[in-house]
Amino acid sequence: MTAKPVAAGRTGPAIPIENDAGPAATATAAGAAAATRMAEAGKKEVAKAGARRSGPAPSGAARGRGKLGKSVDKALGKVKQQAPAAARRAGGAQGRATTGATGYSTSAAATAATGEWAFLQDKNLSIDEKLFRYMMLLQKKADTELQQFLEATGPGAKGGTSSSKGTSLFDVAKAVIPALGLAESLIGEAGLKKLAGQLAGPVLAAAATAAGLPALAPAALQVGSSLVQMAFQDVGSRAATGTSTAPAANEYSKMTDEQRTLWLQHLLEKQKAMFTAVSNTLRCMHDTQMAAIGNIR
Amino acid sequence: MITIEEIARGRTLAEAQGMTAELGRAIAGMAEGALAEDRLRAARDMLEGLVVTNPRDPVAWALLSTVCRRQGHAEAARLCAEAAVRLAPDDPQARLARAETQLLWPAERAAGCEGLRALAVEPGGVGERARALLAAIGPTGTAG
Repeated sequence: MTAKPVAAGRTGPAIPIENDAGPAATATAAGAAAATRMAEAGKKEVAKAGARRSGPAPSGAARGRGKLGKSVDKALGKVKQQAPAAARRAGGAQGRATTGATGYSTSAAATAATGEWAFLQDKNLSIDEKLFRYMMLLQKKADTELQQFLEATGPGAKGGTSSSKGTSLFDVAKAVIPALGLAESLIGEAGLKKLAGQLAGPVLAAAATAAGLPALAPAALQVGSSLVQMAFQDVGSRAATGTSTAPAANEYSKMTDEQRTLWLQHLLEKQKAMFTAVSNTLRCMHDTQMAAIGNIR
Repeated sequence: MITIEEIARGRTLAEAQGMTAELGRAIAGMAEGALAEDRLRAARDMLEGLVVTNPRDPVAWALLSTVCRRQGHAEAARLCAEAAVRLAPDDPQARLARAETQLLWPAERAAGCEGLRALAVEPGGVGERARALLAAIGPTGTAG
């Protein structure tokens, strides 16, 4: 991977982290709103960059990448500039969000365990550089953990036959939707089936957590969108409503270690896809900057 | 590494892996750039990963709702918008995402128009988009 030089020359100002208030840091409604406003500002910047593209057509692929990189860079830059103000707003807010916590790690917690996360606190590093290093470290840890798992289980380990019977993705979708305030009658059975086909298991699991029902998340993890058809075969086996969280939540206690690992891998695959997309974007930005440097030479 | 039990208790991957809010914002910014460039697949990959990593981030849910809507996945867009509004009930961007998805459902179009009218007074891009949508829909709310 050659994305490291992306951050060269982009040291930028120190970026306060919203969660730096310590263990007591909680998400507030205003804080969330501030984060969204930041994203909106970034979007406007991207839109402006897009509007500027209405000029002469680019003469080459490198130039096209340059504009893409510029727009992303602008958006990130805007987010950086507004981060301190957003942090102040979040700190002074009164109303608390429904879930209470932001769900992100505090940098203090990240650095307390070992020194390998110390770069997250480094004020001289750009966000691109931090992101790159974070992805590298996470990949390294994932490889190590996978190796440890393979060594621990080894050949001939106890079997991992599927025991996901009884809970389908459809059950989970039906349980999550009333919790989110949607009328089930609005989209109906067909709509729910479509929903299960459109969103993967990990995303539905995330929706369960967002809805304040994290106990449903393991049930959602058990089946992915590729298994939707199979999952619908046992739709009639359970009357799934918003009150069906208890049986679904208890299912994970029956899983074997191998099954737990496989379902967690399903979760991590989504994250890996995110990092791949981010890595591609960073590489694109790097290529753009290198092309600009090459043109100067 | 996080465990199933921890997930069931509400712990997020971001907390387990040490991802800070700053990194989350950076990824959301990149996804927004991809969305503006019409690279919906890349934007969806980033945002699905982000909501899986931290399901309590309303920004990621609101953006994912927009991506799903533009891909024609109305049900998914609605679910994501509801998640965003639930996490940040007062956030104009989340409310706009929900109002836009409500317009896709005939039974909820009136509620969507009502939401847009409430957002029309907001400053910035949210208010502009709400006003533009209201103008396109028309006074009766039946156009489109």
